[in-house]
Amino acid sequence: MSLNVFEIRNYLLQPHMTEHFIDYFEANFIRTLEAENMHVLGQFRLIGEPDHYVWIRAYENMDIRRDALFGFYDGPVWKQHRTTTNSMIIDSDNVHLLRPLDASLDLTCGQTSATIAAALADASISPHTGLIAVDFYQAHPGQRDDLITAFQTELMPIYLSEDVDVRGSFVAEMSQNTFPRHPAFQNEHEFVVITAYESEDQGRAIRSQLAPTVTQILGSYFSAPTESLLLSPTLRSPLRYSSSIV
Amino acid sequence: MTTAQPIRDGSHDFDFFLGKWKSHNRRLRERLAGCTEWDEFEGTSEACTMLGGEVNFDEVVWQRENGPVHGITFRLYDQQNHQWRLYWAATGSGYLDIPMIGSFDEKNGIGKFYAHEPHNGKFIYSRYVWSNITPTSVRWEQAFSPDGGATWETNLTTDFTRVE
Repeated sequence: MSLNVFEIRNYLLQPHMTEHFIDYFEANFIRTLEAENMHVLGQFRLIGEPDHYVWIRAYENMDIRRDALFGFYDGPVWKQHRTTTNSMIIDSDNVHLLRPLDASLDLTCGQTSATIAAALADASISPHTGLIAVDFYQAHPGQRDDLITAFQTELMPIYLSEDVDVRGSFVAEMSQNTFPRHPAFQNEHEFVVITAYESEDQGRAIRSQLAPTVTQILGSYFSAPTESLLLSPTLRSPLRYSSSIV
Repeated sequence: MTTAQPIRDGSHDFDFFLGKWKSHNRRLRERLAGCTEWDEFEGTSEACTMLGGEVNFDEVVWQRENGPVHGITFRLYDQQNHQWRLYWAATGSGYLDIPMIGSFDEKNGIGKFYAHEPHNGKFIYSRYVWSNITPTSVRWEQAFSPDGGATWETNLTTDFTRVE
């Protein structure tokens, strides 16, 4: 199955509620979302911002997205849990609606919430989930595709030689957001790259080391400073550094 | 981008509570109702450790007016995320409620643990505070906040004195 629509959802939660939100979300929503053709590919703590929760949801296409969202948010599970859920959320509108550059993208190395749950149940997967980084590059109008070309032809070989694990790259999905109850950023000048690292320390070190190279290769295309999310995958996140079964 | 902060291993943060304690307890008669009348009663507690320190467990007995009440707290340390989860159950409750989650502040030694729970049809915050920790004494408090943590009303306090 190919997934062609992605959301990176960055929630601001009430103070001290992040751990409760993770517990509640993972216990009550993941299976239902998956049953409605929504793929929960990653759940994260945002490093340095303890009151944030970030998650990634994907769909096969925009029509399935529309039907899935109406099915879920008008359905019994959301109705049952929305009061508790919303009591923990301050802002859930920071969402980027994206499509992958490569439709055969495998962001999670084959893992799903179901395979992770099964592996956790018999303690056969490492609890060390590593570091995931999401870089949101903003190009000058008309220069996004040049930025992407420079990334692919000049930066990718360096990432490969430095063992930076590029899991996916995305641009904005520009078709109409057919579930307007949930707003989303659809920025046509944006290019988004997701990378994985063995640990926070290792990820920070290599990213610092390569930052001047990234600026040298891509900097002339930037219209704004790059926003980066450094994410710590939760125990149940399919998107994690190592998916190897112990 | 924020810089990395060294994260302290908190897996022994409840070791101070291992052993036997007696306690003096005060309980607000009504919660979030402007009440200022307190009931007072004595109690005893005993705490032990499991899983090589990652679990701290205690049982408390409160000598309430209508007879003794037993409660247990099961505290589990999350090594990945450096947070404690505190699960409470009392005689007759029949299930573990959602945990209080938090950690100790290494600067002042105070532990704060939070949850959210329904109260009269809306969600409030609840908080435990462990403070004034010495080898022979410690203070514990429970408070509720009806306004998202802006103000807190303490409704249960315990002053522990070590027995052994």
